[in-house]
Amino acid sequence: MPHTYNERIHKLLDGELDYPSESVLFSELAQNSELRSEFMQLLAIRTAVQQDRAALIPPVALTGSVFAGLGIASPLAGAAAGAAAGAAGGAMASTWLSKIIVPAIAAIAAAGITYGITASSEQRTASSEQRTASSEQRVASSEQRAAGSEQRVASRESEIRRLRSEVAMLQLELLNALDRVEVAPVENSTLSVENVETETRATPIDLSHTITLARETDARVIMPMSQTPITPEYRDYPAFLVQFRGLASSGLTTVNVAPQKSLLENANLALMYQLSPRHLIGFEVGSESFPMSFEGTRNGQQIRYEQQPVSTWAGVAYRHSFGPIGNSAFTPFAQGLIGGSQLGPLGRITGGLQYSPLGPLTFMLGLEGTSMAYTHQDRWFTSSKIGLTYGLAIRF
Amino acid sequence: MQSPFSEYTDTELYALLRTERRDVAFAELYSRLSQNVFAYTMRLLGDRDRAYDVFQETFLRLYQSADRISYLENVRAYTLTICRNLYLNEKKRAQTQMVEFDDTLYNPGVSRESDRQEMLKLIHMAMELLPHDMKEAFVLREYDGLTYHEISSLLNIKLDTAKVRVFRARQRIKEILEPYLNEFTKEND
Repeated sequence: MPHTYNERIHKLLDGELDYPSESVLFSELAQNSELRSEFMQLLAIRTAVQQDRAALIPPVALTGSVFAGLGIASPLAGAAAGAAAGAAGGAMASTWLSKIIVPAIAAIAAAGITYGITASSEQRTASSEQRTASSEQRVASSEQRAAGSEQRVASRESEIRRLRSEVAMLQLELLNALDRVEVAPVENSTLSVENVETETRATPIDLSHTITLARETDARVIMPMSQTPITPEYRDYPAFLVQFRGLASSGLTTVNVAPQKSLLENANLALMYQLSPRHLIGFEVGSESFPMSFEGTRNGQQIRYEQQPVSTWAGVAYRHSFGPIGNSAFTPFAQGLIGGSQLGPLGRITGGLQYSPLGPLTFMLGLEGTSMAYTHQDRWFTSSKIGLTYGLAIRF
Repeated sequence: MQSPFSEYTDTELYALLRTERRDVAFAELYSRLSQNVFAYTMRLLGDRDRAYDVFQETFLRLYQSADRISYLENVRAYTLTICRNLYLNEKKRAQTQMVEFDDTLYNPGVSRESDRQEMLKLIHMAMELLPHDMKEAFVLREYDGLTYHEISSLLNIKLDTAKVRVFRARQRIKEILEPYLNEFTKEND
């Protein structure tokens, strides 16, 4: 319970004065001009401080500096400050809003809606007419296409008849020639055309027979197959390979923010099947950060985003081994991967050296380039990076 | 238009600083806390450049702190604690006795009434005459809107002490401005 009226005034200003004390205070204020004056003074200070507080808004430039310092997109034009100013703008702002801005916005909105309705109606009418005309065009077009198809069918049939006729003629000539060779003994080195013509016999045309003959005249050539001898290591560890590898990469996409932390960041696991000593295919899955820099709009403002989220990815891989260097245990290889991440599709190429000192164990070291595509607000962006990859594989 | 995170609590937004959505979460937190921090730095430091430095550094540290702290119950109090520590360091470094109020900071768009501007200037000058502990409690209460419990927790003082400091600060300001306030209240009667 406050002991003095002065303390009660302060409690009232703090909103902590209970109702009985408030009644007592107001009764005293009604009678005591000195206390009333003190109350008015404190109230004036409170009002002035509240106005001062409302005016204390971080400038846009300062907000920009904060966000630039953090390397992230700034809510441009001080959206935060604007919101605060809007909330605390006081009587003047509300007066302006009510007297000028609100009617103006309402007028613009009304005009916009009226225009929109009218334009939309006109557009719908025009669109409807266009659709009708388009439908008619499509019908006519379909009829034309049907007529064209009929013409083409007729043309093809005519062509087939012509070809059959030609084939028949050729068949006839061939048979005549054969008959002439077999039947007429060659006494001279020359043959009279007249003799040939007199010995010509008419033979019925058998098209199916002609086709059969044509098929039987096809050459059947068996090409020799390439056969690579199986290497000892392939014979010993023929089929599968499990590989665990890490990645130390640097983004080609420049961002000013640190990558997101993750437990298995920049690590991946692969299971590959060896088709032959030179070719492997497999499935690879991993997790790594992707530097992303993209632009979009928010609240009508153009905003540039920068981030490095960690994303899980997976894909199918093909690896080509170039064979050992001389008699060493080093084998150069190249690998390509196509897959997808949580953010978008990605592609990756890797080149490096494998080292197989003994048994099923293989170490690898290589260079890697990755590109990941992603969308933001229906726009495509890419995140690219290169890096060093290193790992361990076991065949089984 | 509302931010996509406007429905989130400060604690939830702070937790989101550890995710890939941290930029949007930070923007929302900034919009909620910036005026508190700005008022504190401006009214306690007075000097614009130093206040801006402390303000910027406060939000930088808040953003970076999410890497170390996974859960924060009272983000506003934590932010003001960062700000206060930076302010104390800055105060110690500069060893400034008195800083003249920079009236260019005042936004004239809010009120054009000359007497109110004049009163504000006088209040700022009166605040500069307050002992630091009173001034700080007054700013936290009147400018940042903290409860007495929050003030006592932030300043690591007893609840009654917080109340007394604010009470005395108001009284001192009133006493300093009394001649002016008498005229002001008469004019407004």
